[in-house]
Amino acid sequence: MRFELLQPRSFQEALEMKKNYRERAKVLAGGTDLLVLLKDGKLKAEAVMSLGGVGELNFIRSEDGGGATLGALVSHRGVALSPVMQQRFPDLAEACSQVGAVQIQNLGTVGGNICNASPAADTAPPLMLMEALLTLASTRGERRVPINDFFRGPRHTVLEPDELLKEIFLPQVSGRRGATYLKLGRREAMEIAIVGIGVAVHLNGSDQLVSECRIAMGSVAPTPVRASAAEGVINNKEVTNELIDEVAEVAAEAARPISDVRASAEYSMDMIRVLCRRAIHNALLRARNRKVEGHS
Amino acid sequence: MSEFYAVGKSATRIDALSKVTGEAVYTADVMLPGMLYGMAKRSPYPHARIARINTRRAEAFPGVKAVITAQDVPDILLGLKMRDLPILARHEVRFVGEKVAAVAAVDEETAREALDLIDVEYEQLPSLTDVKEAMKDESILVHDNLHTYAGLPQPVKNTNIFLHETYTKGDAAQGFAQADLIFEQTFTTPEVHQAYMETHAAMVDIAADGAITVWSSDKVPFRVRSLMAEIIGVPITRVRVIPSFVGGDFGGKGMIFDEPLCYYLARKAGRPVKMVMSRQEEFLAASPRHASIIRLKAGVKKSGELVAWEANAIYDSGAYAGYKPQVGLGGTKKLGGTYRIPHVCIDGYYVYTHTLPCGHCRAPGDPQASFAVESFMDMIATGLKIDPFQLRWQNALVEGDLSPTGEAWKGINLKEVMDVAVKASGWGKPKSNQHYGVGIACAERPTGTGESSAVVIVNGDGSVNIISGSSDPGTGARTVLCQIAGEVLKVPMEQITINLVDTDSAPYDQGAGGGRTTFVAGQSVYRAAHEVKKELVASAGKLLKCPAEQAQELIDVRDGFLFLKSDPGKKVSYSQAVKGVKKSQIMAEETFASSEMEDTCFATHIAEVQVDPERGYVEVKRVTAAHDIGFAINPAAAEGQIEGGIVQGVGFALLEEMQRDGGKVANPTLADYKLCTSREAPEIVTLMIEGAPGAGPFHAKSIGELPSCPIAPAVANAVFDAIGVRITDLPITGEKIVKALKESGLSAGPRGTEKGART
Amino acid sequence: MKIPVRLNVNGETYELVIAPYRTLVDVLREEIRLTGSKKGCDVGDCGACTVLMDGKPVNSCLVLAATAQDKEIVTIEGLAQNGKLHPLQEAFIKEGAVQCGFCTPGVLMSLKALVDDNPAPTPEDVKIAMAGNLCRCTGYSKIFKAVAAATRQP
Repeated sequence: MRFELLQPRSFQEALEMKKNYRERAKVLAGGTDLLVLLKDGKLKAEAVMSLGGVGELNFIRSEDGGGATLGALVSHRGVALSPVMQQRFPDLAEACSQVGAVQIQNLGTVGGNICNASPAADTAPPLMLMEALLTLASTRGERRVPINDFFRGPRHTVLEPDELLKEIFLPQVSGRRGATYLKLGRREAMEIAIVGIGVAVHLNGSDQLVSECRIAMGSVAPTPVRASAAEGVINNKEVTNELIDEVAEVAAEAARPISDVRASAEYSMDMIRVLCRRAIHNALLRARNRKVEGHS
Repeated sequence: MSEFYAVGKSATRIDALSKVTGEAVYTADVMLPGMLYGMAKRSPYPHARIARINTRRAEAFPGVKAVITAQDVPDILLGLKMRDLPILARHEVRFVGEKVAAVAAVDEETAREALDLIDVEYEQLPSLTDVKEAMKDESILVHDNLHTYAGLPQPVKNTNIFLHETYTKGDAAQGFAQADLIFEQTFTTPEVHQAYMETHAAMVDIAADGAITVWSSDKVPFRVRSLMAEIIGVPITRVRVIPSFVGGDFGGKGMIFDEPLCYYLARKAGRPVKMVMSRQEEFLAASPRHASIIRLKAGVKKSGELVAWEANAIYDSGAYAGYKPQVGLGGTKKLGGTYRIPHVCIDGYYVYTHTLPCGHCRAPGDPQASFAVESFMDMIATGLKIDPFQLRWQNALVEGDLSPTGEAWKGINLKEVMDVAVKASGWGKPKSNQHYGVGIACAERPTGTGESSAVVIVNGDGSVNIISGSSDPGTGARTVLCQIAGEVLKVPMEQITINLVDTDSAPYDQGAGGGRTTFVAGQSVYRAAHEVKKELVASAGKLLKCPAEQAQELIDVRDGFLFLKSDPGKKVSYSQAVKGVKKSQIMAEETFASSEMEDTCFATHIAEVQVDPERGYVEVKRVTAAHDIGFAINPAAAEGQIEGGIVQGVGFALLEEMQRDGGKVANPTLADYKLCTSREAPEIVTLMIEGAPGAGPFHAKSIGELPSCPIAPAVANAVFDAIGVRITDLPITGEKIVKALKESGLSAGPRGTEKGART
Repeated sequence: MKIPVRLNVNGETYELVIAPYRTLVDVLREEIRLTGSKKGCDVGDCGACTVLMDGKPVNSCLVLAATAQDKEIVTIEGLAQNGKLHPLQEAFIKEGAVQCGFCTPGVLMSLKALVDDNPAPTPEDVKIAMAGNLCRCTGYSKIFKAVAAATRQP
């Protein structure tokens, strides 16, 4: 790989550079995706803009009301170990702790993970469950894009050539919410997900009544997806084993996994069902154990 | 074993300090002034004619100092036994990844870009990437000129089956006629990579007078030397090979790879050239373990007694056979297992295809044979409703039995080994939960043979130098050599030195491999040390006024002193004894060579697994491994070999597979070719059985390769025990398990709770 | 176009002029001549190149040297202090946790970060901490043993 290296010292400088270089500059955050692509020759770059000097984007900020904001450059490890994240958004912390292994988690960033837009991105399902809001910035200003609208296809997002991801806002989650992220790989570490399922459930009143269920799936389609039809099956219903099975079945129907070196489409479909069921159970368990945080 | 001074102890490895501090130098760490980086251009097609290669653009690229093609290298074929490997493809490429040209440039980036500027015009040809297709009479030939190749016992023509081995004992037809039941099954194993952490590396420097220096990650420097001398056309003495530490080998670093290319690039460029294979290149074009298709047929009595056995193995050798020191694989002989079977017929077929050439990989051929035989034994046990251990016990070889291929081994202690494993593992105890399984498997492998020389020197102050050309790709062999010398001479380890030396500074050594180092290099050191001791004792005898002919019996050695056994107070130091012969040192040299082995080593592995049937996920919880070791000169080093071999075997069983996309390797990265991480490591209980003596010093046997044999079938058998499905095609992936469960109707349902129940 | 880069490695400062696309592992090995960090795959799949950057283990093959400026980098060569081996190094030697040694530097750096943070790690903690370091020789067994020995409570 051979390229010019841009090293902005501030976010503002980065935006200026991105405005000038547009597609000609690839954005480097943790390097765990970009540098591999460049080394493999799968991508060629005239210039690479490293955001390593933009320390102002490496933060986790707790918001009043229970939400949180992540700077785009917060590392997976930072999120995994953050008490705020573990407390308020345990599924995201869980997802970050399942990326690769410790070294990859120290380098890789949440922003990089979603901007790289691999369908297998581990942070995407939890962020989709939370309906995170992304702040995209350019010298022209800022705009907020819901994460559901962010992914266009494999390695393709709605980011304009002069835009950079600035922040990720995680709206507060109130009431008795339990969420989990389950990842299937051939090994316990250093894996790209064969299937990644995030589930969040809200209980209302009784332990049996699911007021809302959200399901997001990675690695099963060209982008991470919400399984809306499946969600509809269980919203405002009393939970039973049959219902969970049905949810898992409907979720699988919405998926279009491909066969590749990792797994066949048929196995992936089976695993969507299995992981979905398990994730719902996990999420229910967490919701039931949760103390209400002064809101309902 | 406290009666020993230096052996039987887990002495600290002599190179451990340099490795934990980062000081240890491996071939890719060596840098020379003016050094250039070499890189190879590789064929994108599995079979094509090379119509034209134009290197002009590459040669003109700034920073490129040399470009070579087949025109720049001798038109000869290489190989450790079968000579079918060109140095660079000349008229034809036979696998995706075959080298057609190479460049040397000022940095790797420039070399990589220059490769794109080499214009190769290929005419694609039909290719054979399926081994069974390649065996058909009407198929095209991978090697038209097979009959002209050196290395085969007699020429073979017009076929892709370049070798057919057969072993027979008794009369198989008669045996099957006597059987009450007949079992038959086919097993398949994929290509797997040795996956050493250090990739192949080589560097060549040519002096002004033409003398050639080679640095190489190859584990047999002496063979690199002779091959390079032959290729270049100079006397062996004009080539010096400097070994560095080797970062793992497992059979994959026994043949030269890029060394000749480094030479021809260096000659053209007038500067030293280093080539380091990338991890992708390792997967695309190194020399992995052969894939196998093994069909077994057994005739058994209702009692479980084996009477007849037929094995038919097909090995996909890829495009070339030259990476192996034999034409076939030793594992073919193991296709009858460790059992007493009167009528046996084994056939092994080695077939060329247009895929990457296969080589030697830890116990070549044995893990494939073991997987088939030991899975099959369990299937027979299941069919006869006999406990798998009992079936093996009943048929296990005992002293006096002939092996399935008719060998008369001495010191058979298979039953002892099995017994130890079974007792230690708690075989037969109730399972802790559903989907927990236990599996057993046995294997044998003889101590490796070869040739080594060693020089043992006692210096003027009584300290010791060992000069040996033996390599140590991580096995701990050189530490063991020090322990052997230390035991004979009773000198502490801190006063013994052995260095990695170049081929100018040590006598010939065949290097590590085949589990031979403890035996062969060990014997050469043992005998040389004894010779030195004799001379020391003779000298001490004179000084202690002992009759010359009685000195050897009356004098003993300890801690740098020689003393009269009858009166230990009468002693002389080693340095006095050395001065006594009026020399600055006492030294002896011994060459030890062995090519036949009368004994073998047995092992039994018992694997315990926890299976999640919904995902098909298999966790190996614990492996109990009993190994017949003869005598463990360095117990920790021996355990290390067992533990490492077991985890490699778990990978073979569950994770590892070089996947194919037509003729090309589809998963050439360590992300997609899955090795066990620390999280997949099982608990390992190793039990080393000393007793049946081996031919090595202090009755040691070998240990390097056997541990990787019985583990995969032990895991496969444990999976069957856990969930009732048998996978006969490695690796045992979650996907295969889920599919098998569905097909057998044994699918684990969601939870088995009643309908409508609240969750 | 080479650019000036200042690196702080094992407490020493190195003023270098390098191509901007050079990775940290290549610069450590070839410019600074600290060859203890190894290249097993060059794409972050094996951990042989693991070094500590501001105390955190990272794959130095996935770090551009130029972006490592002003960070505190510790390599295997910096693990022993004042000629005294780190307890992990001592334990690795004593417990036989080193075979070919190629993975050893990367493994030690990951484990150093673990014990700096957590002086009494459980076996599970150790497995997770080093899951990004592949070893092909030892089967990991004696590595686990060495960490247990090095972190034994007095």
